[in-house]
Amino acid sequence: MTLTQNRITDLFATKSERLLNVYFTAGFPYLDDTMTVLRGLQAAGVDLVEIGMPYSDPVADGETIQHSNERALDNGMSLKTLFSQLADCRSATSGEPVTVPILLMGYINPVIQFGIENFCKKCQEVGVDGVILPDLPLDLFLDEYAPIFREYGILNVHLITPQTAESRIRLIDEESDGFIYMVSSASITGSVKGVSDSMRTYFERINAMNLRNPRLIGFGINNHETFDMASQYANGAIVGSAFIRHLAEKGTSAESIRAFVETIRA
Amino acid sequence: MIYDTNLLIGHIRERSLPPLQTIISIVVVGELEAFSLKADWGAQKIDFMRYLIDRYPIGDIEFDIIPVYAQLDAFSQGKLKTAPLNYSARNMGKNDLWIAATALYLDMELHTTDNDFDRTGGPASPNVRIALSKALIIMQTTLEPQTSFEVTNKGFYGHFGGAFIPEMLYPNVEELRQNYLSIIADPAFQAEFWQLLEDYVGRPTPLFLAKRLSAKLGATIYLKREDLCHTGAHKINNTIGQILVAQRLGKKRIVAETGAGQHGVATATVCALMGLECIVYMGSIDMERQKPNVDRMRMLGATVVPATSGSQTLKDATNEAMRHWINNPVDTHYIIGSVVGPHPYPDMVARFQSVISGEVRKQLFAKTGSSNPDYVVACVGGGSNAAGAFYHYLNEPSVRLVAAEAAGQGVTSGHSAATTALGKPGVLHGSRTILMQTEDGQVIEPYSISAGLDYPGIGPLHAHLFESGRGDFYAITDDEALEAGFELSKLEGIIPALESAHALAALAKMNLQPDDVVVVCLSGRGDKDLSTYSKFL
Ligand SMILES: Cc1ncc(COP(=O)(O)O)c(C=O)c1O
Repeated sequence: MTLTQNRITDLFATKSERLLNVYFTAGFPYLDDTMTVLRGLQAAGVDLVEIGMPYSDPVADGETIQHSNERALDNGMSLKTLFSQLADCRSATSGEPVTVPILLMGYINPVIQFGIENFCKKCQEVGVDGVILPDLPLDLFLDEYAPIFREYGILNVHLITPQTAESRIRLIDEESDGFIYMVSSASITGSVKGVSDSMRTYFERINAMNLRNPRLIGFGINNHETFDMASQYANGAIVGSAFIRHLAEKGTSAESIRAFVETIRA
Repeated sequence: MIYDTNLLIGHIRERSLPPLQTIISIVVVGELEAFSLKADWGAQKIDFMRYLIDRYPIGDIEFDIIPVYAQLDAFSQGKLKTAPLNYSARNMGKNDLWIAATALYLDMELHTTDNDFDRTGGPASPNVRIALSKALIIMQTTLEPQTSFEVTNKGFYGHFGGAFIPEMLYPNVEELRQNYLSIIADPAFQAEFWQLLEDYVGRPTPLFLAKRLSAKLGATIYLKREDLCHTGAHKINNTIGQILVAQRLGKKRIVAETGAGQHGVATATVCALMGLECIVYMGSIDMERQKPNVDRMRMLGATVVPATSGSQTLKDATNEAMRHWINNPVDTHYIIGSVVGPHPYPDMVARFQSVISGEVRKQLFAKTGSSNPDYVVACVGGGSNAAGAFYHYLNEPSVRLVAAEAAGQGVTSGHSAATTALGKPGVLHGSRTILMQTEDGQVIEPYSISAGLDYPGIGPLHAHLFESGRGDFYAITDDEALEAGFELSKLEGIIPALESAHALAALAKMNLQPDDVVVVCLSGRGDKDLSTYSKFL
């Protein structure tokens, strides 16, 4: 598939090392924090931002992200609200325009209820570049949804794990654009398994496959060491739970966010 | 009915079984074996083919079929003097003629998609004509799209089902999907499964004519006594099957979710039996309201882990069990407790529970001379006892399938679990189904007095039964269920589980007629619910 213009593909065309992608949950800690955190991350110089669409039953997520989802839902967050919060983020009408590539991450049911086409259209309108929908499996995506995503220029980022078979990784590589999300270990988000030898073996194995797509490593990346290690084996890494914990403890000010990003990048 | 080779090849491809009344002609067996060689089928496919052939009566070529064959052969070539063809003659395949002759001789419908049989239509001797026109009619009707209640190889029942799972679960689920049918079809598996059902679970469970209840309701009511299974509910039919599958997949640990604790107890039981480690997730609220079952699980050696996320009930226990499986993908098998979850779970669980209707057919035949009742009634939480009770009747349109859902304090009360009344299509726990959700697609926490029905979705087969109109769905309130539970206790001396009491309560709403024969699946016994019942004594 060829996409005319997409901030994610543009980014990887110009930068291929130590990319930092930071996840946060929309509407967390407070409903109106979405734009504050997004701007804070851009100002702190992250390369990509992943905005979580909260869901009541996030099976691939650990406690930290679950709680942020619950809190955001209690705050009244919904897809409709999220799109209205992001509505003018790409234009200069309300402060500094947001230029950092944006991904939406979440579960398929709220998206189905919103309407797949409507969702893609809204993403295009507000300037979302890609999505990560862990419980939308590859074959169903290809059978039913891929043409709609393509029509609106929205990338769908797929995950691979240490258990993913080589043939399937090849297929995912074939069908992906933007980047491949490498789940670091058999785990849900927020795991504290640390970096083991078996992880390194897995990272090396994937490296040796010479995939077409760049790769970011996520799950369990929570400090400078893990970010560094991931960057040795891939084009960069994704931080989620650690940032959510930071927001809950240290707040959403630009300084707080900058301080967090600096400790990761160091 | 006689099934032609092409239809059976379709079933083998999809790893599904034709209807129970099918007879397979010996000629078709030959064609299948030949086809498998020519198409170079893999060992698993051939195993499934033989398993399928084994399950149905074989229509042999008997001496008496020969005159029928001879007539057909001559007729199809326009050379039968007594019945000339009024269109051009054609040489039909000889095998097709033998298959048609077998159908004709047995006076059975021939189901085929092969239009070769088309040519055999037209005037002929009355005998020949009947069978041939039958063959023709059936051929045309099978070509029309028909509602199927069998799962497709991608795991769909109509619009519902599939495997909506994160990539982290893909290898586990795929391993299961690729192996479950061949594991189940293996004769050694079958032998062990049936032996355990008989000697350990106590099957077959009785089909009991409830005379006083029948008199009260003005129809003939039979109770399928799943409450007499070891551990007190139908849940163990599934856990026995799945533990044997888990062993054959080389798994060392079992994880499960439970609501009322019945599935947790049934899982802990088979883990004790087989010496496997067992971890059961249970909502912390459910742990309080079903304390005796928590103690039973612990006594059986299981670790019971409270699910403290979300609403702390069954749906959250399911989330936690799935998370556990993601974290332990290689050595752990997840025993789902109902016909829910990603494909192949709904199909696998339904197959294990299908023993219920398999027995009902035989028992009802022995008692009434017909294996088909007018109604089969079961409660639906996720829908496993209902799937088992419906299974062998899915393709028998004369048998109405009745599902009782929990309306809680009333469908519109805001405290309900009546999924089909309140839900919309969406994705829950790995399958597309009907679920209770907000406009934004957030899952709504259900409520029912019965913890086993307290689930916001239903299995995809039931969503399909609902959407296609094959099933009738009734919403039963807490009060109606309680009343039915007390009534059965007094009338028949059987204290039903609160879940099963919902099925009993549906009877009063069904407008039963005096000659109706009804089978109610009494999914479990009421001991676990005594603390709830005792509040209303
Ligand atoms: C006795 C009994 N019946 C029914 C159910 C509901 O489950 P299902 O709909 O899968 O049969 C349960 C679940 O715990 C149960 O314990």
